[in-house]
Amino acid sequence: MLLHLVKKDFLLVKKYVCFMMLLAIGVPLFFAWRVPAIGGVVSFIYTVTFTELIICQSVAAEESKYPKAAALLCSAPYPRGTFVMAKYAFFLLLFAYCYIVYTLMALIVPGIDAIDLTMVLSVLLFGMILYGIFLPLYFKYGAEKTKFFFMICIFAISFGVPMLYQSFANISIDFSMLASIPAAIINTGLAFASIIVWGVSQGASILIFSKKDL
Amino acid sequence: MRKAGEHVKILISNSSDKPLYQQIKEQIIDAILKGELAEGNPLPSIRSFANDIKVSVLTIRRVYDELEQEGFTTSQVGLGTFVSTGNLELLRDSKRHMVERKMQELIDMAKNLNITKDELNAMMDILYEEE
Amino acid sequence: MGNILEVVGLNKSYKNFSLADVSFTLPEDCITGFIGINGAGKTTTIRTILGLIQGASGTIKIFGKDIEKNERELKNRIGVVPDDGRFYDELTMAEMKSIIAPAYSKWSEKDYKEYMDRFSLNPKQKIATLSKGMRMKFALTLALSHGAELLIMDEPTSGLDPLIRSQLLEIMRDYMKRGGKGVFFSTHITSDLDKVADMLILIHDGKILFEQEKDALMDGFRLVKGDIKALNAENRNLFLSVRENEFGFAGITDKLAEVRRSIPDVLAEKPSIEDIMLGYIERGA
Repeated sequence: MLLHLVKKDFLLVKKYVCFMMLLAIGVPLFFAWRVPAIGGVVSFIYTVTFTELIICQSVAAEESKYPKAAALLCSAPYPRGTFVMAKYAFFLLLFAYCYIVYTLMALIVPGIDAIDLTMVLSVLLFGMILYGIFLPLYFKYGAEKTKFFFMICIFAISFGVPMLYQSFANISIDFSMLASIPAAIINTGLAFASIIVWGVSQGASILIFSKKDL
Repeated sequence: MRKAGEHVKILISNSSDKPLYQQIKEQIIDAILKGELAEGNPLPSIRSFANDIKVSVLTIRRVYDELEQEGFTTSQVGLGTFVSTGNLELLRDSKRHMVERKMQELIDMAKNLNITKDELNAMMDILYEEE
Repeated sequence: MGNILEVVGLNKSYKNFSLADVSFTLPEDCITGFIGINGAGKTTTIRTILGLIQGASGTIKIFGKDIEKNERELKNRIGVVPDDGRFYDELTMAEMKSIIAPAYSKWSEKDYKEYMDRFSLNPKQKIATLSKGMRMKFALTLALSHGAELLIMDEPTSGLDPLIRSQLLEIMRDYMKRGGKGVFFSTHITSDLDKVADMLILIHDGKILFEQEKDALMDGFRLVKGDIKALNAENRNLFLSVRENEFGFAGITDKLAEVRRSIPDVLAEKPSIEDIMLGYIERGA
């Protein structure tokens, strides 16, 4: 059941699928070519953020163009909860795709650095937080009002990340304490945090969507 | 209504004051008593009958229910509704009953119009021969 | 013979409209027409039955089971034909079907193909390019291809030409013959009901005005015409509603005998469903 609803989201934006596939390849290449100093995590962050933002925003826009279609699906034996969970599954699938493509390219293209698990989980957590805030708002207020969320995120990330990077280079924060904690624990902590954010957000979304009139 | 090659006509009048189900019921009873619908033969299914004469299934259902209550038909679960057998007495009584009812109407009318019993009998003799 | 759908005490308030104590029962093996003017509450009621509207009070039982406790199982047994516009238009019919079909446990690919053929629909065609009639046929195809025992349709014929409407009515009859246990459809085109409906339920302003067998309704009511002068305060009450003009009056009544006693010189004819519906609406709740 879940799979078919995820498939639905892909079908809704089938026009953009090609673009999206190219994006995941193009962004790391662009970074490797233009800004080789900033590599690794940053380009991965950009890849993930842009892919997720653009695709998810498109899905939301399509859904809101045809609100009664969701009603038809919910008249069918699709539980509302499954409808919501599919959206999160969609997000995770996109993330996995970005990661796989990036890793493959890191193996093939010399200028692209591989990223370790900690970085992956950090980006996942970051994305999860953004998405986790967005979805409940989307279910409550619809795509129109939440459109701005996307725009703000894109701007913030486009300009914010380089700024953060600069400031990190200037400040020398003592990370030695963090360094002493074994990676396994950090990773577990990050994964755990992601799961919690996912759970809370999904729970809220399901609650909101279950009460909604379609 | 069709079965076994016999055609029984059920005509519904839209302008009659009589309720639909009553018109249908009376015509079926008529057919049964006249033998056009033989004993033991099945009646068509409620739905196909309803479709044929363009009436609601609920109306036909009521007709069938009342026919059964009055003993003209019996229904067997899973098999359908059949014209009752061996109820000749009942049927004959009904036949007599029908004629008696009409006679009563005649008599009432005659009395209203001041026609005597003898005049009535005379009229009857003449008309009966004409048939 | 049980009841296929039981609605008891449905209440739901909106800013400008509310469903007030909506209750009705659909017997098995019947085609039930749900009538009312636009805005009367037909779609709201249907959406509530389908679980699309939340927060309504009252109970809804389908096949004898409460819909809140058995939602998934019951939805599996219901075929839904919504009013227009309930698809993702950018998808093809085949893609739309690939999303909906897996939700139903008794989906029949064979039935689906038969209906698509019967309606001359090409699955690869994009939904946005379909005419209104074809969209309805596609919706019907989806509703009829998973062994549904109850068909619920919301204004399936509005905006369609008489040929397609008559085809749809034929399919309804066909569906009942093939083992469908009930059809519930809302419409404001009462002439369609004349041909297929067994039961009629009228809703107006969120309230049920009547719930009756169609034949009994038609048998019971008469459209009476007569001289205006014969009307008085007393015999007006015998009518649901009366229309007057300079030539006389016309009224709907189910008390023909009494009317005839009061006004011997009247013309009585069988009314149309629309006449009866308007009579009830004009009388008010």
